[in-house]
Amino acid sequence: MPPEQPELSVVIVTGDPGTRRGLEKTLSSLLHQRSVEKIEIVVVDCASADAPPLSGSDHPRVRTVKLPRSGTTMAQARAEGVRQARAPIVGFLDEHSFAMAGWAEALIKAHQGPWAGVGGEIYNGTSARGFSDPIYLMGHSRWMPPAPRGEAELLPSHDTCYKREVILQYGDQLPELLMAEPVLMRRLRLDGHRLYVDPDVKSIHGYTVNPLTLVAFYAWSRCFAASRARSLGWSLGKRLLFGLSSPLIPLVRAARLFQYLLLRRPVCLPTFLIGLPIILLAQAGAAVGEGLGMIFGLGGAEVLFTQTHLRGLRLRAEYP
Amino acid sequence: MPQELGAGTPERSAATAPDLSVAVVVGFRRGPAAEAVRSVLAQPNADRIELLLVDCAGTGADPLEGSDHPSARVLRLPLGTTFGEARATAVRQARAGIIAFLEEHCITLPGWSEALVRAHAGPWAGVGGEVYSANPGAGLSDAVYLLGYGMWIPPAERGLVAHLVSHNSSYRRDLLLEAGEALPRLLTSEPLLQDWLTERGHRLHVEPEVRFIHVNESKFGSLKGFYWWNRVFGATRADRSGWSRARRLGYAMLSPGLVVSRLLRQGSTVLRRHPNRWWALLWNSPLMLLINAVAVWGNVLGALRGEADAEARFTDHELNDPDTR
Repeated sequence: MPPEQPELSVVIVTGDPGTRRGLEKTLSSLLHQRSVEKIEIVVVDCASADAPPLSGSDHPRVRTVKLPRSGTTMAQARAEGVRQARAPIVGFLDEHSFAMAGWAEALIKAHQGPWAGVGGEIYNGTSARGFSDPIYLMGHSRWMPPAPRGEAELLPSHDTCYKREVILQYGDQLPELLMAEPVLMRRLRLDGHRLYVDPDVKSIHGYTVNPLTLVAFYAWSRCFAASRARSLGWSLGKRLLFGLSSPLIPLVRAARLFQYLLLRRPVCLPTFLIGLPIILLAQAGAAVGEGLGMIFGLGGAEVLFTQTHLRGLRLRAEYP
Repeated sequence: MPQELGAGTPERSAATAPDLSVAVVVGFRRGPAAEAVRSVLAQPNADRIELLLVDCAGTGADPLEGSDHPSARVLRLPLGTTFGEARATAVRQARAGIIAFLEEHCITLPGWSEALVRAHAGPWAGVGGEVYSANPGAGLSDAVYLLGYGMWIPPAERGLVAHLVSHNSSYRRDLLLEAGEALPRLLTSEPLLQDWLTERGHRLHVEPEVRFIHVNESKFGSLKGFYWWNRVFGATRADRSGWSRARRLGYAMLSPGLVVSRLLRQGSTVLRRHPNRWWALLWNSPLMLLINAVAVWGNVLGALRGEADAEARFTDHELNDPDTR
């Protein structure tokens, strides 16, 4: 364990060996930050006990927290990472993301401001592969470089950094809020906190796009809807209204994205138009998830989402 | 001799020679250059790097961000200095045994410079890396990325290669200096520099831990940049290889077929290592065909009529045009 107090803890949740191929690159990107001496990397390892050790995890800046493979959800693992962190700010990275040069310094600097959460520019690490470009537009267009600096309503999920004491105030509710980060961000803003985009905080996100990705969209969206309704105290009537309106989600979101690109990134419109069937399909998966999540709650979606992230893409949740 | 400014100007003794010189040629586009500079100065071994900012914007331009950093030296060159001349000046002025080039519209990733220094401990004349796209899905960007960087798309394969990524690779400085007066032209048409090195028995190496992001040309106006660069390349290749008039004419007559063969070669290069990119290749192929046609046209005119003012126009486009990426 590093002897001195770190200024930034970075939490990375990892699972079975097959899904952590990118982790070496993620760790390397952190260990080659100029301010690495100010960083603590908390790897929350949800692999089975006999999994081989992670490459790079023997570095003095890295702490590994082992959690049981069975029964630990992604959100629980991330919340445990926050609890175990020793720095006043806690950033997240996925094992398929990595930080760019200056990422850590920019986060530490930005968090000197009055922000509960800071996010940055997201680059596509898998550009021109399969359908990753339209999916990138769909998920991260508002943080594409050059991202505007300033206060924001929403930051990129899974690539954002929070003030630890602020999110720990949510206590036992934290795992549920971390399950779908837009809900955490909404809650923070409702509680008077502010979010900030700093384009000097640059990271690269990798996208896997194949038919099973649709299942991941479904699972995450069901988690999002269930968490949104419960955490924000929505009435049954409001949930039913949202749930029954969910078939409109693909069209509404595609129209919003089209409008955004038309006004802000017209050069991306051809990719949007060619990728529109994929975007609509992905949003259809999301619509099913959100509709069911609003009306029937989580179901097995959190387990399924965790498994897609930590064990590999699959069609349905597998219980031990 | 360039005018030299910057915090790194004071003479360093041989004992404190940097591990690596990094040359960034900058024109009027100061904003993107600042990002490139920041990414170099954010490398963990920045204090062992000499950052050469070759400023071709002439007098009166805004100071370059990062030029006051202790590792930075600014080499001011007159407005109108060509791209190749600017880079050759950096080679001559560099204090390290290895010189890496970084275009001002690139951003290095963490560990880039350490991986370069480590790789150059091997017997390589040149080392290149893995290239990411900064602007996927934007206009021509994906077509340019697949066409120009197919060999170095992540995950790039570590090992010996015939060519490294142009304009963003690193070389042993002593070998570059052996090119003498030919160096500026070779540094513009870098594949020819790499051919020259390998013909002399030197080897080129790809190290995938040398990672950087490239902002690809995205707008149709950037096609003129392809034309000018390829005109310079076509002229330099024909001149250096001593092509006869008949060969130049034959090349011109074959050019329609070359457009297609280039596309097929580029496609197979990508698919051989990245079969999951077939969709992107398929729907970008019309744009790739167009860019190849422009490039081959430039090659043909370069071979037949020489480069004329193409390098000056390429330089202006590459360093000063605000509306290409």
